[in-house]
Amino acid sequence: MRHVERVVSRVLLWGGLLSIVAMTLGMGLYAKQPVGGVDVLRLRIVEHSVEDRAVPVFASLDGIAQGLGHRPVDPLAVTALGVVGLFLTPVAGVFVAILSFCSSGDRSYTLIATIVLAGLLLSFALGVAG
Amino acid sequence: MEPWAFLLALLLTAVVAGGIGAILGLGGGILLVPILTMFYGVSLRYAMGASIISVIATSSGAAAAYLRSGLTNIRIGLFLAMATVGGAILGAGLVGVVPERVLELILGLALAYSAIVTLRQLSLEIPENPPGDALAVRFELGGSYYDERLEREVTYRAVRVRRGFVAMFGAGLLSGLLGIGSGAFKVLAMDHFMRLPMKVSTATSNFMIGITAAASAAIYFRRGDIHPLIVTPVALGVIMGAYLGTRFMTRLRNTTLRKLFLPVVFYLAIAMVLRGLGIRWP
Repeated sequence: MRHVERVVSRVLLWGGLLSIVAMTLGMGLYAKQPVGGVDVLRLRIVEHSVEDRAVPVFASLDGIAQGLGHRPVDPLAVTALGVVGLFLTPVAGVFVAILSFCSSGDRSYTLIATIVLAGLLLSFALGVAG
Repeated sequence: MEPWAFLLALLLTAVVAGGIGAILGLGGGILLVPILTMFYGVSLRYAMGASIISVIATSSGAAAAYLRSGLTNIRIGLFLAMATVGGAILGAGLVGVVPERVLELILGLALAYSAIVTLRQLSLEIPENPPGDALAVRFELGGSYYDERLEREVTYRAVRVRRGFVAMFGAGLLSGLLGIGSGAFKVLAMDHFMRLPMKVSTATSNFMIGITAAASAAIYFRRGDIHPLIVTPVALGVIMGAYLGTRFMTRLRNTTLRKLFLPVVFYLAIAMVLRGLGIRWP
């Protein structure tokens, strides 16, 4: 296995695992809350009333930061942090691929991976769903 | 159903979806959205949010294993990702300009044609000494892996790279315009046009769909469509399923993999043609 495969597979594996751990931890803490917890799970999911948005759905990094800064910490902010970590993992994979190609002197693939990363960032900015 | 039983059922469903997604290079969303909406009563927007997260979880879980085993070709993946990301950006810009139904019809027919052609090579295990392609040589679009089923090292090199690149651009265009993952197009472009071994095609598709889905996930997140209580068991199950799927896939023959993949492609082709003709399809 070449260096680039090794580093990219490590980033994907650890990025995915750490994100899942954060999501599971947040959900576990949420379920243990004295108010809400399992009863809220029953109401919000089992009775199919998730659409009322009573369960906070984080939709911004500011919201997550506020939830993490709150005392006690908002467990669902921890879950949302894991979600963000998960969708940034492939982007981080492309980024370390650029570094790896660059360090090995492979100009063509440094450029190709940079074009892919730039396209991804442009997609983020434009709101492309792909 | 009790809450924990519900979560366990969701987790097990996701294990199956992640396993199939990792084996076929599709990401698992094709299974999850109908199951979550029809059997679990989850609203479509949260089901789609969970699906996009499952694609990334499958990709991370599977790509890590496939990269180590040499099945994912990162150079081919990045080279073709230029086309898919470019196509997705153009596709998003064409929303409202190009009639979606026309595009669905054209691409559904293209998918059906590719699937029929692939039927002819159903029993082809490894493409025999494909002729060199200037672009494949220039960009080192080839490699080798140890095939556990054949018990030998398999060496391959891409052919018809331009056609594969154009097909990938089409897959990206479709993603940007319709907001779908288009993993099936990616696998077909590599298997049919570029004549890569089927295992390399599905493994490399797994790597690529994670990259393209990341852009989508940000949109879903900003819209508030990613529900924490639904995506957590789904992501956990999918990553477990993807891990199991990768171990299973390496032991399969390329021909078996193609036989498992083709019915999914035919289903997608029929669904897309019918939607293009304005006929409702689940």
